[in-house]
Amino acid sequence: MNMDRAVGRPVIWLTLLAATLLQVMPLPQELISWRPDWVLLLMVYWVLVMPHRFNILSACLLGVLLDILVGGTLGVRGLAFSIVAYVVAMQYQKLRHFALIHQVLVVASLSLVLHLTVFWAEYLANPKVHIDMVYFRPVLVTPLLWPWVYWLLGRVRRRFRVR
Amino acid sequence: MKPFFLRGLSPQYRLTMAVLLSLGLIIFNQQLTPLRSALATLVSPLQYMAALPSMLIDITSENLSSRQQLLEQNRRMQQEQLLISERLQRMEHLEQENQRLRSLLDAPASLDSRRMVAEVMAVDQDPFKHLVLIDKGALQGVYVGQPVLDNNGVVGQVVEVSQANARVLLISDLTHAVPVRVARNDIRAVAHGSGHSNELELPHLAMNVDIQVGDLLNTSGLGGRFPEGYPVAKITQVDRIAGQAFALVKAEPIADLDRIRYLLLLWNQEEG
Repeated sequence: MNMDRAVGRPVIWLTLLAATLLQVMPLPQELISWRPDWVLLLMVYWVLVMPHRFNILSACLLGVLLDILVGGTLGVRGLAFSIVAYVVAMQYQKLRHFALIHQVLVVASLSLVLHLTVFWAEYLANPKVHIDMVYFRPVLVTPLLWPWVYWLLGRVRRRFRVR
Repeated sequence: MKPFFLRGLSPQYRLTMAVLLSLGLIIFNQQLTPLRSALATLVSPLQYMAALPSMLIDITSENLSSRQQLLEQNRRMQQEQLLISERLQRMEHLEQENQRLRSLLDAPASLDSRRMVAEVMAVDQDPFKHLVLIDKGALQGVYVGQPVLDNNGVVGQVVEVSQANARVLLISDLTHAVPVRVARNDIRAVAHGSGHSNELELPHLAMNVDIQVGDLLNTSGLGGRFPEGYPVAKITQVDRIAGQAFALVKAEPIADLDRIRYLLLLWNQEEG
């Protein structure tokens, strides 16, 4: 049991680190707006599967780290991530038993919540910001990756016996 | 087994703590600048790791470029260099003449300042901000407020410095403004960013102001942040709508803000 405890958290944070790198990796100009919310996908997975290991406060810290890396207003993504993590943490028993297609739809709405919260928080800081449809492209891409992320992280979880 | 019910703090309690923490960070963003640059230094290895794949691709594609392409590029650059060195000779002559005239007028001569080339590591993805990350930082003497140019014109200014990196706020950002002067007739204005990378706005210009489409805007040096005389933008639109208090003037930045790669950092004499 002690061994498992020791290995659990580092594995979770290593996968999140990989997602963070994917999230901030420079991409060609044409692809930038289509970049999926990697960090959101992994965060939702870990809160869904391991709510006792990874919870709202960890999600908040992760969001603040992302804020520093992408150069946003400090705390904006922290706020958005904690709200998304809260929604998942409240409903994790139900969400685990949803069919995959339903989970995909839930991830789409979570991604929408994330982007709207980020916009709203930035709007508070500077009312002149504006958005267009390009801003919501990740909402279309992110849920398509959910089945694959779910399968891959399931393998990682069993391989390293994260509990 | 996975526990079916959570023990410990309730989700509501955790959410309240997380929301208070985030809102505190958002509200005290201005006061937290030192904390922010310390954290940025801490995570800058991550930035380098993230930039690694694209750097590798760049290096590989450079290595694989054909002999023909290189010869072509070499020839083109030689021609460009010839043209530029001719202009430089003329410029040196003019500079000497200018110094002589200034000394006749007892005006302080404008001196050459220190400069350094930096490379753009990443364009920040926050869609509400126009920021780029460069590969020079406090170790190289970069400071907050430092003017940044590229080979065409003014790009922006440094807003955040960590040990090995710095963030540059582009002139097209909503929160950025640069004092300018129309090259043709020295009318002063302030060019605000519009949030679009190919557009600047010049608010609060009187209806009868003498500005035409195609006019060049140079930095005026007022405000003391940008040195005088660097090109900023070209006027693209002047609308005088009846009933409005001010003319609607828009300009396009001279520097290609979408595809900047190498930047020039300038040091003011006092700070450098």
